[in-house]
Amino acid sequence: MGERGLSITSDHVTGAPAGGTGCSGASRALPGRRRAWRRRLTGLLFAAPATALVAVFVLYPVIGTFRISLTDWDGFSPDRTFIGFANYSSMFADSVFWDSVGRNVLYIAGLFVAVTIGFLIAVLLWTRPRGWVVFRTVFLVPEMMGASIVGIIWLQLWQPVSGGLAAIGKALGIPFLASSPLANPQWAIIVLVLTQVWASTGFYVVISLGGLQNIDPNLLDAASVDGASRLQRLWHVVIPQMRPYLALMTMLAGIAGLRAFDLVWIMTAGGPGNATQLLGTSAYTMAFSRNEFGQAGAIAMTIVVLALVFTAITGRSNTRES
Amino acid sequence: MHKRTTRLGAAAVCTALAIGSVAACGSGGADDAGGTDGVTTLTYWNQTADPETIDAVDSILDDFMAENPDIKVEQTRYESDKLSPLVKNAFRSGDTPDLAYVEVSTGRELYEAGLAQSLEDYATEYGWKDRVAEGALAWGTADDGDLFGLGVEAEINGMLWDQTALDELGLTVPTTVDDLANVCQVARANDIVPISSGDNGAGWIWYFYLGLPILNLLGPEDEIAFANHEAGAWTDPDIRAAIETVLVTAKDAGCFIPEMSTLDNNTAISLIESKDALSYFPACTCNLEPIQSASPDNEYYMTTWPEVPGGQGQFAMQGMGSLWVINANSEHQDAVARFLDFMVSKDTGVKLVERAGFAAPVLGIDLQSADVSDLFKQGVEPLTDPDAETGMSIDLKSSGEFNDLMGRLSQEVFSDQITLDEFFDQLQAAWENEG
Repeated sequence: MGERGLSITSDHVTGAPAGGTGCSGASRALPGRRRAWRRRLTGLLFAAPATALVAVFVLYPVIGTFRISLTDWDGFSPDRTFIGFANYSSMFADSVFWDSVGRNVLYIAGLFVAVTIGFLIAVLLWTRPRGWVVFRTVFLVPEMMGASIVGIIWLQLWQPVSGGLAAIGKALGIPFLASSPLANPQWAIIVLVLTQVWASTGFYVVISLGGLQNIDPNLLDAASVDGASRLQRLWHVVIPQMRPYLALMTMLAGIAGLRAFDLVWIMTAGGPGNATQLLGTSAYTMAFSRNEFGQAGAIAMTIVVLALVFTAITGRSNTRES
Repeated sequence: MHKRTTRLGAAAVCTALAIGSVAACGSGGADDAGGTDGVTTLTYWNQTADPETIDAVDSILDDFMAENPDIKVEQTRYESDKLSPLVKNAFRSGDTPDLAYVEVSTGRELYEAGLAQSLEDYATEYGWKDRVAEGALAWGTADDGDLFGLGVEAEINGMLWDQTALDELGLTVPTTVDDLANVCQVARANDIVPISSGDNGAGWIWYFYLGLPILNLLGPEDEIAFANHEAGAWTDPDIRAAIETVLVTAKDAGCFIPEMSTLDNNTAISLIESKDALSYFPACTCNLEPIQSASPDNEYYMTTWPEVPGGQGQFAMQGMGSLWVINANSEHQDAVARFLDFMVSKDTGVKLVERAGFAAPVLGIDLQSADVSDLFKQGVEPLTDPDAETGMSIDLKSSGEFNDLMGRLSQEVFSDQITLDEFFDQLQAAWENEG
């Protein structure tokens, strides 16, 4: 069995005739090599479109951004003076940058909460309670609306004079709601994170549900027969089976947290002052309000590097667990 | 074998398609002049506005296209604070639009970077300098003396008071800071917002909250010198005291919505329209017609920031909100120039005043006799009175970098993230870097 398996694998890789020795003469070796070459060419050609698109739309902009980050370009002038890593040193010396990093970490933590909540909701829906299809759709609505609409809706709700939450706060005597916390430098980022959790949870519900559908029911039945409680089945059967999905969601949440921009920009534009400034909004402000494209490039490259590191870490831990 | 050949062929087709699509991205579009039907299509990026203004401007665009059937204007509107970065990016890339309606400071930046076309030749060809008020042309004139932008939205900025509500409360329009504090306290006692301001964004409203007290302190001539970086400093005790009438006196009197950073400008306007607020700041003559038409029976009064102690009096601040700039890479500059010429014609000027409520600075138009509300006439009086002295918006001669910092620092000091000393010191340091 083992030999047969190896043989098949070997044949698949080398293109040797199935079941043969592969040494039946020079006249048969040439077509074999030609077939292998043809296979490789086919593979390369199939990979070429994606490679070309990635090269043009991902690699080229990243390299271009890195080049800009090494200059003092203002975004307009045709002259770009090479200044080495000066933009990076000034970025690392800027407290606004480090404050932004801290807020991004908080933002990512919030998205991990969304992953957790989304997974737990999916588990509940997986049991097919009455109306589960409706709930699944409802949870996905914020994701379908997109960050811009979500931002506008919540901004209106938080309006201090005419907003719904302010009215509730005034009626119930809750000062926190009555005076919009979005304008409070200490609370604004928390409100943004909570809004993001609300907006993102449905996405993780859908991914989790997709993963849960793939769990072999026989495993759960066997656990039940062995006397495992619901919690034990969740812990010992469901979660281990869901690990690849949880790892994927963690990775997506981390990357989403690092490149967060739209919701924040719509709700606070990084303000008041810089109280809700994230790396993404900082880069945008540097580029398009302050015309410091070199500095903006340095921030953008930092986001890219952090995203790659995060992806590598989550990818490796997932591979190990697999 | 056949299967393999098919697979290879499919892969080759995919590759060819991908390379083709990628190549198409870089090849640029063909001339959109319409060629075959002889119609030139102009792409025009404009700012959003209230519905009445949009209708008015759109009707004027229709008039232009009816008179010029060989030109089609495709207009796209963006939020005003979002438009500036979009236009900068688009002009830099050498792509559309042909024409953009941008803030004066953005127009200047684009021209100085060689991305906006000089209008000097067109100004000579069409005689714009003889047809547009000199003050308005000055906003669109670069340091090298060339005209880079043309605007028809001259404006006066200040405070708009609900006179009817003031009367009901037994109050008068405040002319001193002490009066203002008293008005604010009475308004608060009656559960009315004293001053409605929308500061959601990068803090542009602070250009006026800082600029108007300086204007009233120094008087127009010295204020313009200050705005031009020729004299004065943010840390001067008198200037600091003038600005503290906003950041300390008015704030402590409860004049502002503490959470104003969550309000956008349109919401702030809606509060005075709904009578939830007693005044709106920074009011612009461009807002007056929509506000008056929303409450035709209500009486409003347009004025400026109150007198500051030791100051020269009360003065109006004149500005040019935005202007048109032509993309230096546009292939249709002549057609755009025809459009601009139409917009500064006397006929269009009258339409802009009467339909859109713009204080169009087209010579030969009498704004006081136009068919507009009394509020509008009262608001634009400093523009039409030859003896009136007006100051200049503090942001117009400063860079985007300084203006962004001014807005954010103001938000920080208003929300007590930094002290007044830190605010003035950081502002002055950035100001010196500008010079």
